[in-house]
Amino acid sequence: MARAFLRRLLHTALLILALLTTAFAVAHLAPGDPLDRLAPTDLDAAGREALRGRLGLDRPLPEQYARWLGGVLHGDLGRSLENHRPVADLLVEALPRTLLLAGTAYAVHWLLALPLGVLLAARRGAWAVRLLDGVGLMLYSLPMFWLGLMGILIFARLLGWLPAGGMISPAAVLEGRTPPLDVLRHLILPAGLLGLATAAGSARYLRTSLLEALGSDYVLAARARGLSERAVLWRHALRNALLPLVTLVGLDLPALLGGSVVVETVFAWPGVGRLAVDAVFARDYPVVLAVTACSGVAVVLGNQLADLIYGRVDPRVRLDGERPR
Amino acid sequence: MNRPRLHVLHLGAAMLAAAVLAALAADLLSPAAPNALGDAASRLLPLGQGAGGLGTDVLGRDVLSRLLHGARTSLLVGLGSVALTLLLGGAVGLAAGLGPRWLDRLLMGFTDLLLAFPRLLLALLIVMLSEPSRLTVILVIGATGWMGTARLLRAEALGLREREFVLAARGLGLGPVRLALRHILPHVAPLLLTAAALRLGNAILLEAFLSYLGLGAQEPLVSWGAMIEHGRRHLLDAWWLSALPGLAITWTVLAANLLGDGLRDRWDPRAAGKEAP
Repeated sequence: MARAFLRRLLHTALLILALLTTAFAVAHLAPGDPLDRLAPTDLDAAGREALRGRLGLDRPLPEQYARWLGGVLHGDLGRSLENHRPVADLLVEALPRTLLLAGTAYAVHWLLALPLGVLLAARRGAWAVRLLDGVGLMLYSLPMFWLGLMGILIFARLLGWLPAGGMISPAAVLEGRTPPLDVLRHLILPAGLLGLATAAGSARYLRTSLLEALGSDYVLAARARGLSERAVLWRHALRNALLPLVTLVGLDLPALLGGSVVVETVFAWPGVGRLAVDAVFARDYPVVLAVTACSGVAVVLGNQLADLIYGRVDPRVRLDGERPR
Repeated sequence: MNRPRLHVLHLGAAMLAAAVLAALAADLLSPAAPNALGDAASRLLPLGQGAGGLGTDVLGRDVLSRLLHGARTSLLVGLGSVALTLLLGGAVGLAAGLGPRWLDRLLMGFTDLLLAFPRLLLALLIVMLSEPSRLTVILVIGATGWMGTARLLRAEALGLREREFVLAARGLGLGPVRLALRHILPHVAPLLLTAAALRLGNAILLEAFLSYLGLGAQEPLVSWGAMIEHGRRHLLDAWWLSALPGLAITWTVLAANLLGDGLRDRWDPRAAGKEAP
């Protein structure tokens, strides 16, 4: 067990190293001189060379890579070109807000998907499944940024129920407070949207998983013992159907992070996604590179964690190297 | 139960055909030039007015004409990037599935690495470092979207490589490239077509968001995402400026997704059968 764990740790470390290398390569092998995009247009030749030197772009690529990687491994992600603050500080500042948004969205996601999936598996009504499929396909086809904009129009501008964007009301910002209820009001639209947009897919997945469980021997045994259909469904089938969903959490992460970028942009939510988009406009490439690299690392860690938990909760699955007897 | 959902396929194909037709015939169908500016009296006309009946924007440009021309950008970028996706994904997937084991591990390792990054962030990183244009967007969306196709094709190729007809072709001395093109590709063509339809919707959504950020096709080209952004400043007094292009995007993406779903059910009866308890 300890050995398998160590091997896995090493594997993850190598994976992260490869991820960082890939992010760096993508940023540096993009065609053209990055300075053409990064430098202000009115900069003269001397100023350009000075900027090139300051960015370290005058050095050979392997050296740039070694310096960047060395910094990252020490927690130094470079400095923002825009406001000269350490990128790590900017990330640490924005990350809790994104976690709040994405976490709430994910809760909404499962609050919708779980009962829906169970309902669909229990009913087996063809029309209900078709309806959900239709709704899911529709949600999947809607541009999320546009849906957010329409949400702002209806719920903020026309009805005035919810704020149009940001995380804290201007009045509270001026007083330097962070009232939880105020943040919650700002959270409803973006988190609701992000959760809703992805819920139908998971409901469908859960339904398939549940139907599979309902056809298994232990469900047959439970039924034979005279348990009610409801008890069979909720206590026996659902528990086992939920197991594969643990890995789904790891798979949902890239979509959730990508969705956060969109939603944070539309709702001016001051998280990591917004940070990245603002940095794209400011051509602040150390920030964009750092956010991209960190997202990749987060996804890999999420996947590894999901695998680990899956192995814990399902005794049939063991970490590599250990076969069940 | 055995009859695939053909109506979904037809509906998607018809909707997509309508969008393609609108894009092709944009010049004929448009009542005005998409970038023709109006005078002060013809600005921000509401729905039901203007040359096309869908109002005008802040600069007095006819919304219907712009919507039609926006279809060109969306579909051109969508189809172009999907073609690139298939080319890259096909090459990597077939090479991994048919080539030696070390190549397989190398290519799939790289594919999985790229899959760990949220596609949007990867796209933003590349777009930031290159000049935004229609071509850039095609390249970026294509370059960040081929991984799924590669995995799909690799799995298929692995399943086919030990089949008799492939072994026979190999025994006859066919090289790997000709083997892949002549014998494997025809087998996976339906799968590839399904994947293409499903990717098309995603590509169009990504294009729309990049255009919304101003990082897509630049003026004078019309794009739906940019139209939504322009309308954003007049959300309350002229909501249709943002609402209509969004509906146009939804129409096109929904068409592609319906088509993809229908094709999948048709070519892969297992996927369709799975839904039947």
